[in-house]
Amino acid sequence: MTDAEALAAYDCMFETMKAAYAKSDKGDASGYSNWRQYSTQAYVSATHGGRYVQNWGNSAAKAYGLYENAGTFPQGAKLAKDSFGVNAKGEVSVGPLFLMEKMQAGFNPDSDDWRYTMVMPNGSVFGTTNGAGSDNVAFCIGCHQSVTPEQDNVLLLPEEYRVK
Amino acid sequence: MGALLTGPIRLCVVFMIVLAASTFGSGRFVFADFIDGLAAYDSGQLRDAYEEWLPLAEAGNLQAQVALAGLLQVGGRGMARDLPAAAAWYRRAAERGDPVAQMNLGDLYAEGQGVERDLVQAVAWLSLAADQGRLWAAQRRAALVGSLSEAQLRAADALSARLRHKE
Repeated sequence: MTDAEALAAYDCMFETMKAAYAKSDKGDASGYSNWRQYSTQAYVSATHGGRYVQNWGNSAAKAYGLYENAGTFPQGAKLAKDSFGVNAKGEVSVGPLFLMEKMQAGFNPDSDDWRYTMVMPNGSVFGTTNGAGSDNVAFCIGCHQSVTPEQDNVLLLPEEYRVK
Repeated sequence: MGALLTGPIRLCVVFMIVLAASTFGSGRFVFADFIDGLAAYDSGQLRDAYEEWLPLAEAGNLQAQVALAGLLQVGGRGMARDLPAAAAWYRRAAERGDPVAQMNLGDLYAEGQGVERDLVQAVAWLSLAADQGRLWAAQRRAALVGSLSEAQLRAADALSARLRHKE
């Protein structure tokens, strides 16, 4: 898709995505769209299966807007990516909602105290770090630790899609 | 070799051979694993996720049944949408008391997706999910109830009571 097509597709899918994630019993799955948007439009995320995503952050995660200079995030910082996929026929479908929240110091040294949750489009949550089904989302930790330590496990979006 | 393998070791080897044989179907060995399926799903490999979850779902794994149903309900790159199959997997999990399956099955009935539209079934399944604390199911149920007759409402209540006993 071109950027213009991705922009239109996201606008078309936004309500559908929100309605899907709202089936979850996680409050942030309904509330994330009230957070600040850090991407100018949907873009392809190589780390989330080539789906189109947008980046959102709550007020405690405002440093996200500094991107490489964000530093270590405070407790309570929450980041979200909603997503949709496009198949070979150009048909779009809702993808998962990816959530990460910085917890209190000592919450989980293996994840640098981030709690990861993946909300499926049918409202399922099969795991959350240090909670039920924690092993199911352990792969999130490995991927997010691939960034430099200065980025505090936060993957950044391409520069051309960043809200300045 | 048989003489060398005795007791628990022999049993273990036999078990491994049976396991491998039972999963050798599509030209490669597949050791189904729910987490591998989830990782495949995350990375956009929906067909791989399907292949991980299907044998688990068929073996009765509740999480895999709900995940598989969701995959079939939404579809995506490399995975065609199949609403009747999604409804069938949701039903299997819903009958065992899974609230997400109950909620989605109720919604499919309300929309007539993958099943014939049936508001009595919809309200009955949504009620079961709502009873387990699913807010979305309670709201969806409340939105539907107004369009049911008194008789339909009684039928939905009776059906949900019967289904609750089956769980």
